[in-house]
Amino acid sequence: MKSEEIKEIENKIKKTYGYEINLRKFVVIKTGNKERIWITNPKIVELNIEKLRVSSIGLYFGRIDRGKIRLSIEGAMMINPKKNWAEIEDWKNFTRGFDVKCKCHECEENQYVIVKWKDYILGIAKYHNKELENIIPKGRKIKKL
Amino acid sequence: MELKESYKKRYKKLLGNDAEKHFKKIEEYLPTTIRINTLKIEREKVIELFEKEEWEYEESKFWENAFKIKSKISIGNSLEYYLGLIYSQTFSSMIPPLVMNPKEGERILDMCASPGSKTTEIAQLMNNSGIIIANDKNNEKMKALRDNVQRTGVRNAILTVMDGRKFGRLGIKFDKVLLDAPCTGTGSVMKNWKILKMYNPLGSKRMSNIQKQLLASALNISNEIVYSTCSLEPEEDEGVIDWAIKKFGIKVEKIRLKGINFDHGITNWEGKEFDKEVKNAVRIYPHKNDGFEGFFVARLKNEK
Repeated sequence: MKSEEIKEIENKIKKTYGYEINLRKFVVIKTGNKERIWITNPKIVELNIEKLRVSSIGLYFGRIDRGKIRLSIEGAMMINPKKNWAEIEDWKNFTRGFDVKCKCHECEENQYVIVKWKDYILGIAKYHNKELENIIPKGRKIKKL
Repeated sequence: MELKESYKKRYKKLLGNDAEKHFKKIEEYLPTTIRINTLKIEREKVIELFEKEEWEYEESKFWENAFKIKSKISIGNSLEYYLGLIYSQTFSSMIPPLVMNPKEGERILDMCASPGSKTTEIAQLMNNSGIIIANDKNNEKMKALRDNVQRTGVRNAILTVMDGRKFGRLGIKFDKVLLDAPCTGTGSVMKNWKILKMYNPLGSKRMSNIQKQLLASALNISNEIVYSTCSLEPEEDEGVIDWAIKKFGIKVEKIRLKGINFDHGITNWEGKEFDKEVKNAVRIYPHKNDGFEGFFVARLKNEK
């Protein structure tokens, strides 16, 4: 991605979470129709990847969903949010994929908010009506406790 | 379960007086072992979590990040696993990346990478720097590899779907290559007893042809290769290394492993003498190390 496009993502993160992230220290790649964003090390430019049958590059950071940044769990872990973040009392129901009640910190309605349990970032969820709509990917959910 | 006669006969020849201990040990379940993923959290913080949650654990003797979990816990359903703070991995599988000793900034190829245990460990040892090409021939195995790379927060990996034998022709050079070769898996019987049901010594002979082709490809693109298998069959281990010594003039480097009771590579098998260099390779047996499956590791130096 070009530097201006990366800057645009950084600005979205700043606006949504009040956190300044420096993505320009990475190589940032956008793929597919869903505009998935991946980050990797600058060292990649030394490699002629055209010769390889590449399946994916680097860490999936998130994607732009109708103008909003929708972070992956690992993408969310790179942010220290000042707003649009929610605290939950119990990690178990959330990680199993249930919608849960939360204590919100400057959460906007229908925003992707960062979910924390104690000091741990568990991912993101969609905030409505003081509740978190669970959007943990199926493969990542905890099956049983 | 009754062991096949062909297996017993072969392992008596391989292990001599230790064979009975081996047969007894492989009937046990492999204990739960994990690696702390320091890409995401400091080791001490995970230990604090274990203690808060009253997990009974034991530190390994060979690596500070390797632990045995003694409590009856489903690791895959724990918060630590969900967050990518720990990775469920056998002790033996942690050895090849440690033997490789990747350095920050290097370019590494993990030729047969899925499901990604060793790739993610290499990334951890490189502190997410440099580049790892994590390759697997089988497209269906890529999901597990991708999920594990993501969960552990690995940024420096490029996942590729190629036949490892083709890398040798691409003209891309690597600082180090890990060839954790496809094998008959006779070292992992504690994890998968079915391997013994299907045991056939001829399988190793067939498998060794593929292993040799993969090794030849690896030797074409790097001067430092770690070759490993979870098989204890000499045809797939010393036999392959001996072939590479004779064909390519490679050296086998000595391996130092603290806290592991290992054997050296064997120098003759079923009437065949192997080059003395193969002694520098390492055989790990379950009956000599609690919590380990059977494994073979060799560090090769391509000086040409």
